[in-house]
Amino acid sequence: MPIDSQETVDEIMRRWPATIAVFLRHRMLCIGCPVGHLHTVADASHDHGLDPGRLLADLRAAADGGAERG
Amino acid sequence: MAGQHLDPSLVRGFDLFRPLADEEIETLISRAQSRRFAEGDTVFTQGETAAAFFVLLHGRVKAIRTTPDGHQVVVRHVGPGELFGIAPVLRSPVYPATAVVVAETVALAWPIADWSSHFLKHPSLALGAIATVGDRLADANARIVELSTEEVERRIAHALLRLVAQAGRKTEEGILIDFPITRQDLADMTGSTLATVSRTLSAWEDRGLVRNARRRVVVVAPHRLRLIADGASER
Repeated sequence: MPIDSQETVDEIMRRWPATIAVFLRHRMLCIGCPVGHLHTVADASHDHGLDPGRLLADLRAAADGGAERG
Repeated sequence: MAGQHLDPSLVRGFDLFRPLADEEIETLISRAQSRRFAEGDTVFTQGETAAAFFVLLHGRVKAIRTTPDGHQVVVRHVGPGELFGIAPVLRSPVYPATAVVVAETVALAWPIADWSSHFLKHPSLALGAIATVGDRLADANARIVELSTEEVERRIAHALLRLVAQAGRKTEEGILIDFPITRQDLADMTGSTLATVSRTLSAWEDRGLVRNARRRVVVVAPHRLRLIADGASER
């Protein structure tokens, strides 16, 4: 199932560690952030002034290319 | 460069020299050397024996201090008309910082040994130098207040984020810290005072970062709070 914009960033990075690189590349503060378990991809892209569609696409691409952890 | 003739008009307009008569300026600058530095040059190095003090005529220099653990801090910027390299004021035989040229610079340099004799001969110059030191002290004090305020704000922001991590719940308003928390609790968590926490939370409420009620805090703009906690510029 592809990543949804309503999923939290914490959950996404936990399940698909390859997505961490995407957050780094977009210079986002989400990695290890105390708010990460509450903030969705939509929230995070809004706060960082990023295009949510673009971020979601990048996250999906990274998740597809990397391993998934239960 | 001995024997070079320097024109008093070079320094006439600077506050430091304004109270001096033309003849006084003549005598004074006859002892000075004019030196030119390119961008990136080092005028003097921290810890080096102070051989000269300077008045910057044109350009810009920054004073960088390196701490024992290797951190470099820009202590101040020096512009036209300002004294720098005045180690004797700090009762130090060595330069307290490294002076690096930011933009091509021309400065007058006097032998450090002349420092006290200049001031004994030209009391108005001494007054100017005291004013320079006074300005610098005022800047330093303002910076201390700024740094300590910033530090407390950062700690309070961190404390709120830790509470968000532990007990945050998303609501319509924002992220509610779903746990009764008083301002005194936040003061205790941050080694701060009730008054400081209250003032900070009210200021943050005005800026739309949080919403406060009795024993209840809603974080409205967690991302901006995170920027404060990280010491990044929030606006």
